[in-house]
Amino acid sequence: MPHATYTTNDFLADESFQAFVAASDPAAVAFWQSWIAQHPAQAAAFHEAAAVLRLLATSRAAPAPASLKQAEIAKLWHAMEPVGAPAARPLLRSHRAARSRWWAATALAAVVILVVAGLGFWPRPAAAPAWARYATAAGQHRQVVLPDGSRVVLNGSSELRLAATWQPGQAREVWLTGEAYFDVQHTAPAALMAVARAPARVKFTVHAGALDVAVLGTRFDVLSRAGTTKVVLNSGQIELRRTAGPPEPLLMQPGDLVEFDATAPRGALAKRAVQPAFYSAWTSGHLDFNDTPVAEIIALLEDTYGLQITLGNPALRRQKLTGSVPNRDVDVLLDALGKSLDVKVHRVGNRVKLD
Amino acid sequence: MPPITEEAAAQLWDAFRGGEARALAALFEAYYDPLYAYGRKLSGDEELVKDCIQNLFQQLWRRRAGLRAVLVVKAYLFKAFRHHLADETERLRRQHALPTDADMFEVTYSHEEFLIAEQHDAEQRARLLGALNQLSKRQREALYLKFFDGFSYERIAEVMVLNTQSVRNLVFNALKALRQVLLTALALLCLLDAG
Repeated sequence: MPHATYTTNDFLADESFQAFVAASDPAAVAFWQSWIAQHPAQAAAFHEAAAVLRLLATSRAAPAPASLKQAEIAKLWHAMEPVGAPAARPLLRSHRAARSRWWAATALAAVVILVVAGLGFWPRPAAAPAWARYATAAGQHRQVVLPDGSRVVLNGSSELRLAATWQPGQAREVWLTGEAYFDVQHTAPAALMAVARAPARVKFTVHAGALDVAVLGTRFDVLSRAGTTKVVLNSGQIELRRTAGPPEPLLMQPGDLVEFDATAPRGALAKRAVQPAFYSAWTSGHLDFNDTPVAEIIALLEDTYGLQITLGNPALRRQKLTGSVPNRDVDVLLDALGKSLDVKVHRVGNRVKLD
Repeated sequence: MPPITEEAAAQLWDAFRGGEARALAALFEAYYDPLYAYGRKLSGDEELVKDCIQNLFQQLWRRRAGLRAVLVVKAYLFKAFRHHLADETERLRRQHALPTDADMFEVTYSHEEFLIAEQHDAEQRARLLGALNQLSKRQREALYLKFFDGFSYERIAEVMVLNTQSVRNLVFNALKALRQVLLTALALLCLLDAG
């Protein structure tokens, strides 16, 4: 149909006219602008149709929640991983030699993954980050140096993901499941110490479960398992946010512990004071006690291992212990505690009775 | 995220068929939001929408060797996703012994989706919404694909598994109905101005 005899309805149905109103096609915009200048008689129908289409032209669907998208892409990556990749295979280590070979193998695998990830090239207008992934099997620890020089120690059965390359001056972000201890490089000017007022480009953020942990340069421990996320700050400052929830952050100071249960998301973020060194002691493989009250040790064990500990003799809570115990294995630890207190340890699942 | 061009998407599609996991992840990144929004339009079940998108991409990865080149990746993904969602919705209905509906998708529009610029406020917006939600389900869906996702009649036909002329009619009749609403609104304003 020639455009000169178009009615309002004809304009409405014309895809090129729709593209002109939506300004989605420069050629269509140019065409219809010059067309109407030459056909003033059609102006009424032209503008009426444009008015109807303009009602819809600005319509936009809301984007999916960022945290959901992130979790889903991680899931897809997981599904696309080749079966039996070295990082995913659990390995028993019995002595040092086997262990160092394992470390060399995983380090090599990590390098290979990074190099392979960096090789692929095609034009991509959409951001398509290449991911680096570090994972540990049960009982395994792993040290990772991030692109900015920050150091991470991964505890057993944990996984850390991040973009394979970090541009200087860009926000640093990692995604964690399981437990990790972070020692983050301060990239902001030395004078800038308060994370709350810092720009995103100098922040380092750990996305863990339902929490976002933002820092400038600090040491802290994050434990995220089975819906519960726990953060303990050793030094510096942390700005803590819920991924879904009120935007006001909680500011943590050294020695603060915050625990958040995603299944009870309406609860406020609450912090309490602890001895942070206990919570990062797993990185060294042993717990050091120095006149430490048993009550505090029990709280630590309950926090770190998800145990419920009861004492047959409540007076023991005030007793103090000094010494160093290996803490890779919770049963070894409980055994050591039982021996020092001269009590018997009964453990059923996560319930422990010291009697 | 800026929209990805059809050419770039087609290149990513070919790269992922060749075994590039990154290319499929890039397509996932590029189209997650529109797929999710479309899914939420079609289904009230957020978990189902999420799972169907995830399953779609995992299936694409598993079956990559048997996939062909496609013309418009976004339309292909929308069509496959719609199919998944319909299957799953139907399965859940049977499971709960609910009656089956030929037009199973109930597309509704909400206030937040329309930034009606230079228009007369809340009343105008309410009228538009009222008119949109009086359209048939298929009209609403076709209109959504046209104006929210910018698909051509031909691509909408591909996604909804209809012929192009049917889609053209759906959209055209929907626009006519909206025009009627707008005319009434303008007439009312004139009356108010006169009074």
